[in-house]
Amino acid sequence: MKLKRVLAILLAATMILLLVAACAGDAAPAPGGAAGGGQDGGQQAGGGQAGGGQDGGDADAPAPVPGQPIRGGHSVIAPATQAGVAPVGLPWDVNPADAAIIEPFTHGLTAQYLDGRTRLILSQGYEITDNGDGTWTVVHHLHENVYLHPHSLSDSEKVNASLIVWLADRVQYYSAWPTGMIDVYEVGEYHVAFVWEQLRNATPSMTMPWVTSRMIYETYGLDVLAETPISAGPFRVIEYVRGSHVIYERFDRYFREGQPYLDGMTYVFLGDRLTQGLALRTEGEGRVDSVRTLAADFASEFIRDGFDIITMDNITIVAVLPNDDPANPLANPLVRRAVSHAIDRDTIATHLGFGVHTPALQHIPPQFGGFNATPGYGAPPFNVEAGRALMQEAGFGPDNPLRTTLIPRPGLVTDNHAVVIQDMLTEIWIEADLNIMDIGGFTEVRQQTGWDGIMLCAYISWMQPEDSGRMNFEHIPGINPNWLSLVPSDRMLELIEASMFFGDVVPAVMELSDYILDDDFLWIIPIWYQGMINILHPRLYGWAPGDHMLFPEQLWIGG
Amino acid sequence: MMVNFIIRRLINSVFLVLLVSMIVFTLIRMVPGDPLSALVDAEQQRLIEGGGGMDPEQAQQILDDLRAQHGLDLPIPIQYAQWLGNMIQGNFGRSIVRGFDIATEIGRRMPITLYLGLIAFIVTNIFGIFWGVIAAVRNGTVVDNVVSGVAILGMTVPGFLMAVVLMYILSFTMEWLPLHGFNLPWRGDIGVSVRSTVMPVMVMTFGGIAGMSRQCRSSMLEVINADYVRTAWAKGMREKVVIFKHVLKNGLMPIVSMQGGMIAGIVGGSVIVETIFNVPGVGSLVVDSMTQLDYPVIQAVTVMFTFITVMANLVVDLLYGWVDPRIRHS
Amino acid sequence: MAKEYSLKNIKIDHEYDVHQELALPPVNEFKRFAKVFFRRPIVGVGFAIVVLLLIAGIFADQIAPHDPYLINLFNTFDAPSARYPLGTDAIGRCLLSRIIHGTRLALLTGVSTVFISATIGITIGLVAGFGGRVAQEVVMRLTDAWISIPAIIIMMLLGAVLGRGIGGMTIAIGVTMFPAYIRLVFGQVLTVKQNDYIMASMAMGDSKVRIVLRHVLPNCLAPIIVVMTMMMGGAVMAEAGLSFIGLGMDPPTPAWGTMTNDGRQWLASYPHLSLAPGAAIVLLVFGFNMVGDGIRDALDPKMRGTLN
Repeated sequence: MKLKRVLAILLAATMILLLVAACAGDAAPAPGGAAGGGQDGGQQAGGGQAGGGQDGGDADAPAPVPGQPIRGGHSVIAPATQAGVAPVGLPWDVNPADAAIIEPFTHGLTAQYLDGRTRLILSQGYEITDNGDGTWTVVHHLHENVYLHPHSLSDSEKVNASLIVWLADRVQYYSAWPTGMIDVYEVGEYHVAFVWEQLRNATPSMTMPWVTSRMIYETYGLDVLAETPISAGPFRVIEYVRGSHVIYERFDRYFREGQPYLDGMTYVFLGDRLTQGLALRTEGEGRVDSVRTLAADFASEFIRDGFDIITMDNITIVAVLPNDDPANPLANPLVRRAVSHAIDRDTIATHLGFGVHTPALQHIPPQFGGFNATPGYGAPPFNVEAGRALMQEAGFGPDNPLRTTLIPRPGLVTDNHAVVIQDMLTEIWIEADLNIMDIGGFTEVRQQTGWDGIMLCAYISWMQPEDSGRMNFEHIPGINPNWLSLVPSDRMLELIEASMFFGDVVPAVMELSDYILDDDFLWIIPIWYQGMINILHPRLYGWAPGDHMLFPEQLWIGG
Repeated sequence: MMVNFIIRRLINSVFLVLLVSMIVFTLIRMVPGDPLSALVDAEQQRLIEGGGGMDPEQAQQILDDLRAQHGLDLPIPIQYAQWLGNMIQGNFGRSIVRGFDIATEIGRRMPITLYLGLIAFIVTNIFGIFWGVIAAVRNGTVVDNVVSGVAILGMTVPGFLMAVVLMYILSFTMEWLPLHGFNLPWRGDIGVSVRSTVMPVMVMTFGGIAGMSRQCRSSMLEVINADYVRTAWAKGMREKVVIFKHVLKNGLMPIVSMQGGMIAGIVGGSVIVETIFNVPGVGSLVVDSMTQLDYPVIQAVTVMFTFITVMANLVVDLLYGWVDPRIRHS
Repeated sequence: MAKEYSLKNIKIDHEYDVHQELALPPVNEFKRFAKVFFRRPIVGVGFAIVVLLLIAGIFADQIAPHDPYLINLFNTFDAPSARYPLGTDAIGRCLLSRIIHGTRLALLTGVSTVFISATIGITIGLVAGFGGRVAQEVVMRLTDAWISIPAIIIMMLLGAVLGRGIGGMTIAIGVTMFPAYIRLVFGQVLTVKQNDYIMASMAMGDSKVRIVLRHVLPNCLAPIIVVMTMMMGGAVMAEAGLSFIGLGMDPPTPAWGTMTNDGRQWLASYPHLSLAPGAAIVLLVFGFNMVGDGIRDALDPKMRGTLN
């Protein structure tokens, strides 16, 4: 019967096709192939493949030896993506989601350590001069080994100081021109002067990383520059497919003999959490060596299964209550203390943070200077009865609850966290409606229209609480919370100034913390600490502590 | 005659796309928030991490500057006119949030989406018609029931669920197919390309095959039971001739009318599939730009998709005219 | 010689006498409908599922073993057990209870979406039908434009504009589904317009409303109902799709689509978190599709079978 034949043929064809596909894909292209074909990689459309051809761990590199710095090999990393959205943009775009791409090859001149010290990267050193007219000049002596090399050229270029002036042309991206910077000019070979209207702790590093080549800019134009990644660090870009992957290869001049190095890295952008997890676990095609994520529950599975995790850049998640209107019940110190009492930080950290998060009773994370290690120090701890007593004193009860809104910051505070905190607040008769916004709406509420309710967000820089139109510090430029304080405020402002600028940072921070946590104020209530979580596959465990390739600047020695 | 028809339809299509662009243009500006807030927020984040800060006046100033720069402070009709003028010259503008040139980016991504879409279209038609005919011809047997059952399942499972289950089984457990990554076969390894195409196409087509096979089956049955077919049968024509000459040709019409919906389904499916399987096509731009409210990207992508859909429907209607002689001669 | 003809001589042929009138048994329309409807066993299964879902939706409070909103951080990710028949989710809520309570929401979403889209579609169809050439052209062009935009983009845009929550979502989904009804109603109106009798009565002053109610709607009621049942499932699946993009229902609402999507990240470790609500969606869509199939069979004149 003809039909039966047709059926058989189609079935056979399908089977054969699948078989052919399965066999054909086994021959993975050598890593060299990918590197060699990279001359035009950045400008191809959809070219190359990510992860498919590159196995995690080069077969030729020596196996990692515990305690010894890593030598060679190629690592595959899945960087953090912003709230499930895969990064689309350019290496030097403003969006922090893309910051992960930028790290390996564009560096600032310096960087800040967490305790305020400055770490030199592309700069060998700097001098600060007071110009006497209210401005300061910072002159950087750039590293002679700082080279730029567009991958379309075979040779490298020296950093030309006038390049940074070129950044000023791109003023549409405000990150290129930092706040408070007045001017930039060349002083001599390898010497660049930056003029600032004020001086801060972080000023030497605030040139931001977009150092690139004017020659390229002038030769190829802004569009090419925008489309083609150019590096200035330990790696150079071989291939860049926007939204898919970036392949880096090591740039020899940066690595000193005998120091740790990697032959190359691949960043793959996996927006889906399940894909990230499977990629970590699989031994087959598409595996990655490490994943960066903010999600503690995701990491917990891997901890349980023997993976190693490293958290970095810890921040404090806090509940911020409005305080510009004394009539607002949330401005009542009794209510604020009650809120602090209502939150069971240990349970949240353990069961929603899976041990990756830690409970927080003060705003400064433990590794920061200014953390007060005194036992018992901090915000009012978990105690529902005490909370209820305070609420009753404030005039609320089971028949007269306090109605308000709960606003979690998208991306940092998960829906589950918000739901659990909402639930905990009901124990002290606070009925909070969940108002979950996207980042655009959240920013608008935070910066322009203000909010009424309890905002769950991050206390990123301990001096810069997330602010809104309802807060402003008139006295200090650059900070603007509106602070109706019941304790003397002048001292607080003094402390903030001291900690912002060059001065005795740590004692100022600690004293400031005392004010914020004072029982009659308690404007910001710390809840838990969390950070960026790096989940490492056991095959990376040969690295020396701190050598994990996630911090390429630690591999970069220069000189 | 046919040429007139085509020309008329083309003009209509142009107006259609214009209308759609107007609707979308207005609609996205009605969504609360805008792409600049997120931009400023990210900027602020970066400055804070660097140890600096930004006060509200500064933030507002930056916001106003950015808004003026991107022309968002103009009245909507003027914005639309500007955008349309640029579009006609081929300038789709730059992404507000990410800064890339939209035309180049779409140019890079469109071949991928079209490639997958075309494969999905062909696969859906072949398998859908095939299983529909089988089920109709073997009506009432085990084959028919199995096909109908599987078809129902295919139409009722949410796409993203099927995608992750397939990914888990075929990629993780069996290690047959790559977990992520995609390239066109003429740009890179063919083997990897074919294997990375399998799962996306499967997800995109399962629903379509299911629907088409059911539709095909029922319309085939209608025709098979129709009198003129019975007459031919009774006259002694051989089965295969009957099937090909009468049944298929007449039963084909509902199938042709289904193409439009199927194309829409493929377009919509590509959005989910590209996001889950990390395919750098136009669909993944959609989700990204929607969450970030990136106006120019949303506008460009919507116009693109609409254009594709309209063109595809035009081709389908032409086919319809060719298949149905009544329309051809009208 | 004339023979006298008398009636006696005429032979009467009795072959064709009507001996008795065959009385047709009275036909019970409902019984006939039911007979054709349940003829296929699979439709019966679908019907049973729909009934089951309705019961679950109405009596959710009685049937569910636990409070679907009860958080218990010490019992997260429990495996299915006697106490929690489907286990617990990421914050310790009973999955089965959430699914059962989600039935209500799913049915509500489906029904409201379908009614919104049907209302819009029927209205547009009537307007197009009774309006002049201009109105027809405008309506047809606008509808064509509307169906040319990929549905997912419309839903995303409207979902973003209207915000999360059941009201906004039903409108967003309903608005993408109305084109199906337009052709049906429009075609029926055209048929009516070709009927001279009706047009005459309209010219004599019969109100359009009456025409619509008496002639147009009853005739297209059957296909409309079929389309409506099919769209029920579509609405629930669209909700799942929206939650995938991030525009789903607000937590802690137990919406199946959102639950399926949230559980997706745990597929490798706790697959039931995603598969169970997903299976619920499949059941609902299957049930309503089968019922729609059955209704269509039962109302199709060619398949309604013989009279006895």
